Amino acid sequence: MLFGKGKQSLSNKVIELARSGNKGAFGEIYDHFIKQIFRFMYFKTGKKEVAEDLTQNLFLKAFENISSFKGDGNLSAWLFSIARNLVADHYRYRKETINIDYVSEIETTDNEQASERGQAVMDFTTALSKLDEEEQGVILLYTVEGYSFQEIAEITGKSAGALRNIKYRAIKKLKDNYGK
Amino acid sequence: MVNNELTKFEKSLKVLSSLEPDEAWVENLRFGIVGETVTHSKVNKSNYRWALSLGAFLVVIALGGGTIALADGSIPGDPLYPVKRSIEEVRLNLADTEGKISLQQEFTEKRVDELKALSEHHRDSEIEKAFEEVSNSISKVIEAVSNAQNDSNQINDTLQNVIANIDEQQVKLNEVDSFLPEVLDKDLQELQDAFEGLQSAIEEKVDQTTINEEIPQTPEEENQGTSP
Repeated sequence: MLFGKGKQSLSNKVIELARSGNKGAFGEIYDHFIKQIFRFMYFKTGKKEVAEDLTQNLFLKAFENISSFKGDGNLSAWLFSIARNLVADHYRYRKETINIDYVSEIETTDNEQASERGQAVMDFTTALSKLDEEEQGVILLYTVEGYSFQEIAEITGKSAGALRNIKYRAIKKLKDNYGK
Repeated sequence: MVNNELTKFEKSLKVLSSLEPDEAWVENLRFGIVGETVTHSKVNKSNYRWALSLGAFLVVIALGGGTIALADGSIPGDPLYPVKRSIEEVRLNLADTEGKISLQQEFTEKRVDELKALSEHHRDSEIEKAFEEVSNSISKVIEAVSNAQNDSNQINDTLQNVIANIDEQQVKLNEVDSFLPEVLDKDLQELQDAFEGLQSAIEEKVDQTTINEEIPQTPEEENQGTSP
């Protein structure tokens, strides 16, 4: 089983080993997904500390429940379902508006190009926060993380065709919102 | 034409993948979850924070001198900053009472330097936290001073050093002022007041120590001291 376009593969054997309680194998899963999951949590909440807490909770849950994951299923779909539930729980108890507090820190050099990139990330993040949950998810998974529509279909339960339409609509909205 | 523009715009969104978590945080969490499983089949949630601390300690050991030197110059938000704080924790745990006062004073100085660096780089999102860190650090110096024994011979020297250092920190805070937005003036004033509070606490401690040294011995005590 491969995850995403051009991504390093994570074999069925590793997943099987992790399901049977092998720590090293779970470590490989952690290494494979940690950055994607953190970004997903960050773009959903806009706060570095909250993203760190939710990412931590996700991997604790995943580690405790990996044995119940069906080996023939899609691991990324399973992990991102946990991620979506954790974000939903987070917002169930907190009526917060998104507050971009981290992207300004990602570029710490005085390099002009790096500074422009930091600004672009901040503007995109702000624009992204104005999309609905479904649109955000497709942009993050397809455009940013490089998942295929088929893989996202397994995560969200929507058809690949419907996801294409959502992505098209989301990109148009993002472009309109960008820099505003 | 419109589709080409959208495609180009979509490609530019890839820049979002440059956002990454702190490396040290990733390592600590990895140890907290996977490292813990060496002896347990499941992570015990009540113990995992302890595991994270141990993880930080082991990361410090594993990183070696070069990284530690680099970490020392890091400021909040830098990937190596958590390493710097972990090293401080380790040093503090190994220090005696007087050593703790000196170390807490040294760490307070570092927190002020970090606040200064953050304000100079206009990293506003971190500055509020940095104020809090300096304030907490001052409280820890006061606590370390109050825990020290009055009859220690070396305590006076240590306390005098701390007092001398306070003036230096107040000068730095005045320099920070020129980089801060007006809205943070009140926070800065509170820090300056906290340093004055620290100075008063130390002066009081010095007075107590001096009194203890100057109280003459009673004839009975003198006799006890000279009797065979």
